[in-house]
Amino acid sequence: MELELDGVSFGYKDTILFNGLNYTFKGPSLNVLLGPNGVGKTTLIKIIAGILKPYSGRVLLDGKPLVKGSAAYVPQDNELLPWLTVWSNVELPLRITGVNGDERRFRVLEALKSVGVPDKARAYPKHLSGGERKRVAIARALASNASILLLDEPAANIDPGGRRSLWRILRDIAGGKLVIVVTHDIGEALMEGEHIHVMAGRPARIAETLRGGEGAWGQLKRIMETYYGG
Amino acid sequence: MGSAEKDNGNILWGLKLLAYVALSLAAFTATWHAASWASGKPYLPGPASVALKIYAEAFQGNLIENTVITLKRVLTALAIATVLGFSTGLAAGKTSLGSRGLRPFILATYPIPHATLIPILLWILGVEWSKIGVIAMIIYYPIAVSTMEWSMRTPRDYEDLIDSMGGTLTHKILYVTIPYIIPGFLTGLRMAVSVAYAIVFLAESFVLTGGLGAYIEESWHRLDYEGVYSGVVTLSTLGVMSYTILWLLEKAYRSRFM
Repeated sequence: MELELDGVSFGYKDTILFNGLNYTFKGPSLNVLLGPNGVGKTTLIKIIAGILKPYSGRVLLDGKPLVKGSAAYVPQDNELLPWLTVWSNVELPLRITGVNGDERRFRVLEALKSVGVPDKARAYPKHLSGGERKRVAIARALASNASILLLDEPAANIDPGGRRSLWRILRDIAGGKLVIVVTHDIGEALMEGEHIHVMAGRPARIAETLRGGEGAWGQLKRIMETYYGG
Repeated sequence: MGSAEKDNGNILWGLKLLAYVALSLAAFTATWHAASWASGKPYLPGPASVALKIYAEAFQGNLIENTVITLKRVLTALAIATVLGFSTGLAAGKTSLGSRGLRPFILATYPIPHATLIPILLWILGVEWSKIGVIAMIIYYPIAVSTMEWSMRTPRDYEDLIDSMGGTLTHKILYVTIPYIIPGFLTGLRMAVSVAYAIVFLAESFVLTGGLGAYIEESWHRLDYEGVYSGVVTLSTLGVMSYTILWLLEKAYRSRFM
């Protein structure tokens, strides 16, 4: 699976964030996007998700233009609709794409089981912890059968235990999907990510890509100094 | 918090509320009684004599009949204003055409003193529908404006989610905008209901064809002081009850989802 950014340009008002950005993410794999504040990480995954339209350029999946719904997006906040139960939240993309009732029920239940929250099906989001809300949002992405999963700061405001279990779920999912996670936490990115993509500059580019894991820890100081100014 | 604890909390909250209402009502009645006793004027009868009048009028007079007429008018106007206010408010807040055309129209016509249109509406709509028309026209605005403002404030994240799922504007309105604006809409409706009972009095006392407004007006002409107060108390009770029901609905919605 190849997700290709082909000459993507985008900006806000007077700021050009991307100017003909070319880059390819290969999957299935767990990718982490790192970079200083305001570099355009969230904007980039919103472009991939089809929420923002680039001024020029294309987003391709295996050589074909990416259609909406192929990439499931989990925002940093407001990841679930508060007026829908967990079940209805997970079911939502299936309703929108017109999946029939029996299949919907099967896929929602499987997705909730796979992230370990089938007992929360009838709860409303306000009664879930931060970690549970993220898991449900991931279940929604799984139920939708999207081949790409995009998460913006998924571990923010979650306790350390919840973070570990969230990353474990993401690693499992990355066995079959292309997962791209935006984070500010360099240490966590280096430890948990499979491929780390460091964004920098204005217009932004992917300045560096490195392998994650225990061995990547040695890179922490250098990355801090090179891209974060200290 | 467990569900049993939550239930207990709700019951406690309900009991406290009832206690506050009972205390306020008792304080109000006591002040009224004292004022009536101190003034000794016939135009300020005490609460007991007004209560007796209401009791007598409910069984022997036409208070209930007039209350039903007023309620029918208010509810019909409310239904019309809700459908129009909600749909135009939504269109003004969520569509580019509505935002360019409807929004300036709603905001520009909001300050017009619509009650002054009663005589004109009488010509156009006839006696009965002019009353409903003027109430609907006035209460349309709080509903439309609150719906419009809340729909414009819908969090972008929620819409982005629907967008990323391949959803259309209809999906966004159905799954995000409408559930999000319900508390704002209920606030608007609550304000509208309070105004509706004031306007129904004006409309019904303009041409007397039944209703509590006409009942109050007729009692006033007969110098039937208890009668005037009976109508006012009944109309106020309707207003307070409607307001409270909508407030509780709004509170329940907010505490369940927000």
